[in-house]
Amino acid sequence: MEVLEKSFVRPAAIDGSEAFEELYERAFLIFARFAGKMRAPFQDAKDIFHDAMAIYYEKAMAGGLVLRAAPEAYIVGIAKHLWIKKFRHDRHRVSLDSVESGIALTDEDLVSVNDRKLLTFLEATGKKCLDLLRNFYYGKMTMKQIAVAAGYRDERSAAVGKFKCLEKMREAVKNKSMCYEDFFE
Amino acid sequence: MRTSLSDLIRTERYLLGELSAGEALLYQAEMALNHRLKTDTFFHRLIHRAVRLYHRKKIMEAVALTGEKILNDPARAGFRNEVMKNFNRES
Repeated sequence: MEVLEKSFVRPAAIDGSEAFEELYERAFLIFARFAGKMRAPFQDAKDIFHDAMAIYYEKAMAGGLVLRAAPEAYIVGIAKHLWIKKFRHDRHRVSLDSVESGIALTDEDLVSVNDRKLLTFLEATGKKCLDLLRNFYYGKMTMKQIAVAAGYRDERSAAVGKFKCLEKMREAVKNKSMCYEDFFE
Repeated sequence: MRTSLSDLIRTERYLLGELSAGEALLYQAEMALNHRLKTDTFFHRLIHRAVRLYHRKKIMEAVALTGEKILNDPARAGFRNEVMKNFNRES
């Protein structure tokens, strides 16, 4: 495994990017060897690998990811941790190298049943707001770009729209009588 | 009773870590005394979580699309064969 200097990640664009496709190929080949040894079905291996790619990209796009190894090593490490969480009985059969051992997935990284319930509900009631808020928090866009993307007249209207969305969604979840226990197991 | 816009903005700034240390401490003290503020903050945090999940879902969709493209591309049959040989073993 190629160990690189500690460096911040600048991820390739996902959509249609050649660099992203190359990373997918490199990482999936490594993980497929591991999954094959574990006698996993192809579909399970692919699903877990896709989850790992998404977690990696989410962290890389947020800008806080510091890698001490090649990106594919990190992705495979995440996938192995997801594997251990899904197939607990395999735990003793999965060996982790030093890079992989250093990866820690938190509850925030994992998607629970309650998370799915929450997202399904909000997608049904306020998808437009989810798109707007996603652009605000993760889009790395200027206010002007956000306003244009969401069809607002100007930046100020977009900012007001953001808070209207926050309130609307918050009230929707409250009115659904969802409570703490609905979201925390 | 609906939350005022200024309360909403303050909660947003608290959750995004944009309040000063003193302001954040004051906010926490208010939450301890004001059940409504505590509840609003909880649900506001849930919305942040939902947006993060939505963002992840969109990334997942892009990853899956790329996967399908690569695994079904005749020009990349070599890659697919290399992957699949790991799964075609007799048990």
